[in-house]
Amino acid sequence: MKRGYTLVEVLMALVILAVLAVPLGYVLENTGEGSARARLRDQALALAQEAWTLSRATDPDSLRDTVWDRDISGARWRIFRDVFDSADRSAAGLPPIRPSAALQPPVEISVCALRARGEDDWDTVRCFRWLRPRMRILP
Amino acid sequence: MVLFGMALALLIAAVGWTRAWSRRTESAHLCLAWQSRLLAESATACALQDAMARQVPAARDSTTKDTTSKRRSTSVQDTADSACGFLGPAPGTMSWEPPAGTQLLSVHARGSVTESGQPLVVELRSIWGGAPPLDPFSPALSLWDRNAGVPRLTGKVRGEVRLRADSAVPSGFVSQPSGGGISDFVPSSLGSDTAAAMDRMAVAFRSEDARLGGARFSPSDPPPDQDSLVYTIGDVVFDGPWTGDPWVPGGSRTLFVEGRVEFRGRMALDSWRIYAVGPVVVQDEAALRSMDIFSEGGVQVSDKASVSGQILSKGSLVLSGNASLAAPAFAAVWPGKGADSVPRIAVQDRAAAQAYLVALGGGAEIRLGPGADFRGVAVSGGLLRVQGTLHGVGVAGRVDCDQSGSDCSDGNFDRPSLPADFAFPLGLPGNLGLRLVSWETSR
Repeated sequence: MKRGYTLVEVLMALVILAVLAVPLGYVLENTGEGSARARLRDQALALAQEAWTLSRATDPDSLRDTVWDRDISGARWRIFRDVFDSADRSAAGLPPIRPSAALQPPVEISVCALRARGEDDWDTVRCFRWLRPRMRILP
Repeated sequence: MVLFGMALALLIAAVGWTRAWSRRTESAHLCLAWQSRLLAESATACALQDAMARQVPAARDSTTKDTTSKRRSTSVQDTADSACGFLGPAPGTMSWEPPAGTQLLSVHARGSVTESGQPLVVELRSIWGGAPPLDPFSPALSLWDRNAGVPRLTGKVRGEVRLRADSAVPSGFVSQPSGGGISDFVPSSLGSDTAAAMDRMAVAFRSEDARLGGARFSPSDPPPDQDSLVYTIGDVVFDGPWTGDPWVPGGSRTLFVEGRVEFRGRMALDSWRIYAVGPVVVQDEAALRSMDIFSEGGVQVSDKASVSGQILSKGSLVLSGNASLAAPAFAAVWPGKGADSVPRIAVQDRAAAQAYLVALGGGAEIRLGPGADFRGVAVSGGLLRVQGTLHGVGVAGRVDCDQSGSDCSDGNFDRPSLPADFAFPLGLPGNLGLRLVSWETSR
């Protein structure tokens, strides 16, 4: 004769399952969120690298503060490029840059990639900062 | 079945969690590595600015700091007092090594950020030269001696010959445009390079790092693991093995020696800066790449040894045997004292050179021997003696051969062979712009 599970056994299994289900659900949820966040960061890095490439190809004296908007897989992105220019120098109390190319300090560039959370709500995902020579570089 | 379901759920959760964790770790690592690379690139920008600022020392900007310290290292912080630091907040540090000369820049820059308590370092090695000007480099040979007669060239000449002489210009030759002289071909910042190098040596020999006496290094007794090595009153010898794999001491260091420096055996050095009061001797199969060599006692490269980079020396630079001065290379010599007082560059035997050579002073001499292979530009304030072939441009006060008093050259001037990517020095008169010759990243 085939013996089935007793009620006590089934109840115990259900209790164990319920106890495990909570942390398991938490882990799975975090896993999904973590992966999504990592994907976002990777996208932000790629956008920043794009801005870096663009900045590199631009004559240093033509670099300006710029904002780009991009849509990637349905997500809205905004890339801010800040260039530390003569107005910023003046605001920081630094002397103006001399006209001689040899004496000019490198240009400081900051790029931030922001992702839209709402209509006018932006989440800063990645920011990078670097210096580039102000001299003319030939190919 | 229940237990199997539970095990399956646990397995899925564990796999998912592991993947998510590694994904996040990888993402964070990529981000930090990129920031580190940007810092190394920023340090390169600072090194370039240092070099360019040295070329116009008289008109120094008030925001430009003295750059002759033995090592520049800037913590990235919110500061407005450094001309070459970040003004906004950024994580990590950057550093760069100031070169001995600023004609052909071999920049070794480093960016570092912290990852899990450990530094994540990216190193950028780059070599920068000047852009090739179209003129006045078009002729194969230029003579600037006002009193020179018509040169008697017995060798083969492809390209123009320009003369400064007021005497009649022979048929087929073009006269030199008004003004000029060899100064058009001599980097204007050589003087400030020399002064900066001598200052740096003086500071190093007085520093606490200075060791009394010389040293002999070998694979079993390598140089100390320090960025800067200073030896006073003594010679320093690098003794590589005679057979087997070459010895690679590694690291990019700065070596100050108050005596002679010698590299011999089978060995390879990359991106070192050598400051020597005595001669620098490179022989056997020593291969020195992207070097900055400053010597007050001359430089000799012989046997199968090779050097690339920048050489600034009092007295002479002699390449003999099968030695080579490999591209990109810049070398300048100027009058010394005593026995080695004549500024002289000699490429003799079967030696080869691809470089921009400058010998300063009225008594200067550049001699390209019969078997020598030279590609580039040879600029001599005095004599240019071409017995082999000069592929490129020669600029000199006079050409000569062994019989004094007669202008002659039985060698060949072959203008069209100057390499298209030839690296000109940065300090030539006129704003030529920077040219990136090579670029290498390591992590």
